[in-house]
Formats: sequence, C-alpha cells, structure tokens
Amino acid sequence: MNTLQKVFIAVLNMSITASYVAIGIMLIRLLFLRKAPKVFSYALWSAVLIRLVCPVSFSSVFSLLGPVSSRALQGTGALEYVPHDIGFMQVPAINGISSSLPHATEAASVNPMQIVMAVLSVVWLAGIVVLLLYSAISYLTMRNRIRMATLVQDNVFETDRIRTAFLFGLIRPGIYIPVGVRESDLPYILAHERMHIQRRDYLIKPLAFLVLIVHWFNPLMWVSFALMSGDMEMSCDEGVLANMDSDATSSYSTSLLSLAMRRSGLATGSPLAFSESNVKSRIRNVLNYKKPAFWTIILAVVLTASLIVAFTANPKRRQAASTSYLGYATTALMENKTLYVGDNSKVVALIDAMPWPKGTVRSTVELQTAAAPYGLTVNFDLNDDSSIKAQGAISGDAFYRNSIVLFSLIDNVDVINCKIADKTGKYNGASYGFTYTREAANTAVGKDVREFANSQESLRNLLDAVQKLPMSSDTLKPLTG
Amino acid sequence: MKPYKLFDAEYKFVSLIWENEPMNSTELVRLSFDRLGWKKSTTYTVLRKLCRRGILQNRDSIVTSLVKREDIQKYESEALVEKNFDGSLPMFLTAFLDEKKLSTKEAEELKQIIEKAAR
Repeated sequence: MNTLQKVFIAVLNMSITASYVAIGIMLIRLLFLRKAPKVFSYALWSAVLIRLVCPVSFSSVFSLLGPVSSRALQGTGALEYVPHDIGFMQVPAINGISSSLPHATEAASVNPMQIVMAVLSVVWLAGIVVLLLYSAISYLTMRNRIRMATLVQDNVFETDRIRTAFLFGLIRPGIYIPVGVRESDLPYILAHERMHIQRRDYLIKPLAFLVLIVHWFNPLMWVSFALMSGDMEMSCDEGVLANMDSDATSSYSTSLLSLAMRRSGLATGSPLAFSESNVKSRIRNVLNYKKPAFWTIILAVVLTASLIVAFTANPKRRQAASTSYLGYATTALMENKTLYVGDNSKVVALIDAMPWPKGTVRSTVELQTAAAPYGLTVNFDLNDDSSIKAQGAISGDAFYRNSIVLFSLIDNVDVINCKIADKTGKYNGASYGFTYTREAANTAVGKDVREFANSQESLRNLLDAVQKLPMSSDTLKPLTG
Repeated sequence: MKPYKLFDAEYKFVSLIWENEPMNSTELVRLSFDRLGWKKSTTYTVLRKLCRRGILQNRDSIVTSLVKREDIQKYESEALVEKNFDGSLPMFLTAFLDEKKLSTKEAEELKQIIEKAAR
C-alpha cells in the first residue's frame, strides 16, 4: 500500500472521530450553551480541530468517546474505524459492517477493496488540489480588487469595490471598509474588526478552512465550519460589547444592520476575509447580551475546559486490566469474541491476539461465509522453522491449540484451516496444513468449547487445558492441490 | 463629450494631481504613499491606466491632467460589484454560510426589534 492510501486512511479515521466530537458539540451547544456567552461554544470547536489534525491522542477515563470508539490501535494512541489494512482483507469490514463492501474473489488478482481504496484516495487528493487552487485564485482576485483601496487611518483602508467590512492579510492584516460608511457606524465596525485582530481570528479561520479542505468529503465538517464561523462572529461581538457601555448595544446592532443592508446583492464570504454572517442571529445575540456574572464565567470556563479535554481524549481501554495469559492477550480475546465468522475485523483481531510459533508470520485470512459449514482459513508464512521443528517435520501443536481457542470465541465457525507456506526452502516451498472441525475440538476438551468463552477466568481454564492436551497428530502433512 | 467615470480610488488619485500639477512622478509616488497608502507599484499601475484612457499625461516624468474636474464622474458604488464576480473566496461557501441578502421586510423587522430593545 502506498503512502497516499495510508495518509488517506489516517485522514478518514480522524474525520470519523471528529464527526462524533462535532455531533457532541452540536448537542451541547443546543442543550446547554444557548444562553451562555458564545465564546464558550467557539472554544469547544477547538476539540474538533485537534481531532481533525492529530491522528493520535492521549487516553483518559474522562473521554466522552467511549460508547462510539472503535478499536484503538494497540499502543499508538490512534483510533481506528477503517482498518489500515482494509485493502488486504478477504472480507473487508468497517466496524462490523461488511455486507456493503466488495469481497475478495479468487478470480481477481487484486482485492477489489484495494482498488476502491486506491481510487478513493486519488479522488480525495484531487479534491484537495481543486479546492486549494480555487482558494488561491479567489485570494489573488480579492487582493487585486483591494489593492487600490485608499488609506483612512492607521491600518484602515476604504474602497468602493467591496460591499462589507473585512480583514485581509495574514501577517499584518488591514481593515477594509466600503466607501461611504456612515460616520456613526465607523467606530463600531472598527471595534469589531480590531477585536478580530486582537483575538487572532484572522489566523484561526484560514487555518480551519485549510483543515476543512483536507476533510472536504465530510459534510459534517462543513456544517461545523459554518457553526464555528457564526460562533466566532458572535463571540467577537460580545468581546466588543464587553468593552463598551451597556447602552452601546442598540447603536452597535443598528450598525450591524446598516452594514448588512449595504450589501444589496451577494455577500462576500471569504474564509480569508471577515464579513458579516447571519446578521439576524448576530443582532439577536447582541441585544440579548448581558455582561455575565463572575461566578458564571468561572463555571463556564471550567466546564468548557473539561469538555475540550473529554472530547480530545481517547477512551481508556481498561488498559490496566489488559492482561495476557500464557502469551494470549486475554482482554483483547474477550473484547473481540464474536457470534459470526463473517465479522472480519474481530476475527483478525482474535488471531492477532494469540501467540503463534516463532518464525511464522500471519498473512491473509480467508472466510467462507456463503453457506454452512462456515469456514475460516488462516494463512501463514514460515520464515524460520527452528521453533516448530519436530522429528524433521513441522509440528502442528501450536496451530491445533489456537484453533480450539478460535472455536471457543467465534460462535458459528464450523471448520478452521491452517495453511503454512514454506518460505525457508527447507520443505521445497510447499504448503503444509490441516483442517480442524468443531466436533473434533469439542471432543478434545470434553465439552462445547464455547462455554469457555463466558469470562476471562473460564477462558484461562481453556488455555490451561489446551496446553495439556495430547496432540493426535504431531507433524503437519503437505497439502495437496 | 461623455463624462469620464472613475473608481473612488482613481478619483482620489487624480485629485492629488489636480491639486499639485504639474508634478514630478517621484513626488507623486511619495504623495500617494502618504495620502492613499499606496505602494510604488500600485501608483504606477494606476497612472499608466489613466494615461491610456487619456485622463492623465506622463511626459518626461512630469504628470499633468488632461481632463477637468467637472468632466469626471464617480461610479455609483452599487454598479461596481458585478454579480458574478462578488465573492472573493469560495462563493459556494458563501452560499453555504447562509449569507443571504437581507430583504426589506426582514430589515424592517430587525429595526423594530432593535428599537424595542433600546426602550
């Protein structure tokens, strides 16, 4: 898999995590922050931004993502919904949903999912390029239009080629106002734009837009960007009003209105420029604004800060209790216990939570789920035979033991095949293996092996039992065909 | 003769020349920087454009006007911002951010709300 696809899958996973965070923030805004100063809603969006750019995060028991998180990649701090090896799965699955994704077919030389991912990642990149180009052109067009703007004072310029006031420039932003702004409106317009400068909003908004471009395929991020922009404007309004007398509110809102009415046609809404958005809700917000009491601010600050932390943290996976027993990651085994062999991601997770003989590497996993008997085939590459050599041949003991454990944890699998492909050359490059049935596994342990999967304790009993089992066949036979 | 139409900035620029002509172009650059906040390149671009339109003349770095103040009109600022060339950055984004035109009725409503709150 090439780098582009790896990056794309990482972005996809960040996007999914951020979507959950965004939905959470939308709910909190709606339920608790309607009357609160908008600066708190605005601050909350930082959690989405962090989620969109940071593939990894710290784990905390305070995380709010517990109910929705998929498997966390062991030890990396990244949340993974779309498996990074999706292109190489026999039956691709995203969070247990596999029916809609194309399955691997034996006739095709390449897994269709691999092709799908390759195509999607190219489309994703193309979208970014188009949006960046479009943004760059718009930026240059705008720069050209305001180049002739004439100085009013300090960093304020006026021009008749714009309809509304905004900031332009990233290093030393200028305030650009339309020609003919009423004398009485000017102080409020300038106070608003200066508040944007003071709060570094002129840097935050382009940054957020850049991140949005990377996640352009996610409609929830567009909604988030729009809501964030609104919160930014309204909290800026509040910042202006906090510095003014309380009777300034009506003049301030009148100025907002008169500036909005100047725009007779379409509005300029460049993310790189500051302009009016949603004048109506802004005027309502301004009129409802009251300087909040000291203790309300303290409470809101604490609440917002803890929410940001809670949204940024990955859920703690009972990491302390994550135990292993005889080399088996028992916690992971219990978590990925499944009723269906068709649940590819869980089945693969189960296989990878088991100790396999040294010198063997798990390659593909095939699932036979079309009709009963349901089968599972695990393919291995043998790179070094020193640990599983017995009497000049390959010992199958470890594979038999693990097959019994798989029968216990995958409820509906009837047959398990293990295939070991010789890569050492000592066995003529042939494949070795065996087929094991559920009946045989039940007979070996003396009861239905699934009963052992009830708890970690009973699972440990099974692991003990399989270690002591006398193996019927000690060495593996070459597979024919 | 039909009147020349100028942008606000062009009008201010030509006004500098009416007040000071004939003037040296270096001096014009300095004055434009002080009064209009323009960079040298902007001044020369606008100067070249206005010379081509026959409004100004730049001969041997001496700038003079060819048109009198009475013959010049400013563009109505409404006419300037062409509809299909309004949004700077993503126009689709503008539409998306719901920056709709405020209707007269809505504006009137808002005005009343403001007045009510002021009382």
